[in-house]
Amino acid sequence: MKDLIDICRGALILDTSTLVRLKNAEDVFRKGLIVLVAVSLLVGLVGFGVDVAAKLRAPSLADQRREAQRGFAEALKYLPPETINPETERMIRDYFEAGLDIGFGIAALPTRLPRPVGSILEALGGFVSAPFKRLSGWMLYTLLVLVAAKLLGGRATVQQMLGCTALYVVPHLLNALGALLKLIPCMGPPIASLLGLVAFVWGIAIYVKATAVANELTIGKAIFAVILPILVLVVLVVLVAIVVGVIALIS
Amino acid sequence: MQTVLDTLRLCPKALLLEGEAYEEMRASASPLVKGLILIVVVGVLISLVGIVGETLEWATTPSFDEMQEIVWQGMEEMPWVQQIPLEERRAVMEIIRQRYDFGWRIARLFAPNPLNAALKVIAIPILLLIGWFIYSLLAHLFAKLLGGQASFGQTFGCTALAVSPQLLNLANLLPYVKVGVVVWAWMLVCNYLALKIAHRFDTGRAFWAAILPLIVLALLAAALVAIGVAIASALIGGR
Repeated sequence: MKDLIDICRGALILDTSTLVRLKNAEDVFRKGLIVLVAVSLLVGLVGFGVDVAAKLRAPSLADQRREAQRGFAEALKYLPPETINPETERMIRDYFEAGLDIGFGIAALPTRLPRPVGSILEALGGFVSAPFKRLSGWMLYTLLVLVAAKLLGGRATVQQMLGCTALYVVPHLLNALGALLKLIPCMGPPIASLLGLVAFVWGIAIYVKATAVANELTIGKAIFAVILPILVLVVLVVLVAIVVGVIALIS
Repeated sequence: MQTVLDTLRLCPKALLLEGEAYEEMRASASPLVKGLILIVVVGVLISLVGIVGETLEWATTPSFDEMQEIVWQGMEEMPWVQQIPLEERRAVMEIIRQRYDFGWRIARLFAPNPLNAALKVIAIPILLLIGWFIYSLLAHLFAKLLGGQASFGQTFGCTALAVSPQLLNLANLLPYVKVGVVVWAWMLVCNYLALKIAHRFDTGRAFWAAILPLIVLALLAAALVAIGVAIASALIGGR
């Protein structure tokens, strides 16, 4: 446990020796994985608590519907008068009311188990799914970065690459704080967004450093390896768009 | 029974990309049989657990028939219905209703249902076995072309261990859990390691041996889709 905390601390300050030690550990992948799953669960735990509390204390469906109608009426006031005539406004209202009928009609349908049980299970499912979501994105992208790093002369094994880059997740602990801050009206959500941005940038810095250390590359090459998969993807999308465009023009 | 337990014991190590698990499988007396047993056991385990999760999800979801009716009523209230000329409205709404019902029939296939979950106890192991067999066969062929040193059984035994990430689906004991594509990405990494160790490959050759079967399968799938579309177009055009 102490070892893992030291690794997290070292990652946060982009300490090369910590990353080298981790890279050379026999269980590098296991360690990285534990950090990634633990951080995801910790961050998700706060969101889960907030989610369950909100679901259990949710107002009645009638109150929620009134609130939605009030919010919609407020939003309509901000539309420039020249863009909307009474006929269009009536039509938008009718669509909105039909949407509410569908949404609240389904919400009012009975279920075999009581609704609150379903709400808690749904929140629990989201909480347990969070590490899998993070793992999916990280693992797929890291495999592409590893290929790019290999093309640039990288020397990491797949275990070293995955184990070291998993530490990118550590700054995302700030998101747990962000989830709590969101509960504070007015100032809470913008501060939470700012914390999210800091965690994201900090995470990228750790990811690049981990790629450099694991592959014994310079920081410049590591940055290139990290952005290369995105560049290739963008080029592919542009090429496909051009081909589709040309075919459409010809036919 | 002891063989099953011994093979299952390798799964966590294989999942954590520990080479010794694949080495042990490679050196074992009958890796092909062990691999086969492992895949069946993993398939049955995850589908049994899935029954619990899917049943709980079914029990906390409203009836599909009632949802279908509520959505239809809501759609009928929308202004677009009034914009259809009165004399055509009935016929147009009937066509839309048919397509709408067809859409819901497709959606029902993916809806939680205890009976479907129970059927998966048979379907999932069979699908895993088919997937494993086809992938391993192609991987073995490519590995041999690349100078690999493993026997047929060793390749199949080691790639069977690469099914270990399917154990992540045990999380489906809880309803509403989405494991996602991580299983497939992880299996790819495990297959790479399995082929590397089984065939004594360096990184490059192990990469190609692991990836080429997927490329071939993707091309095959694309060709089948293209043929299907061509046949469907010919049939529709011929009417």
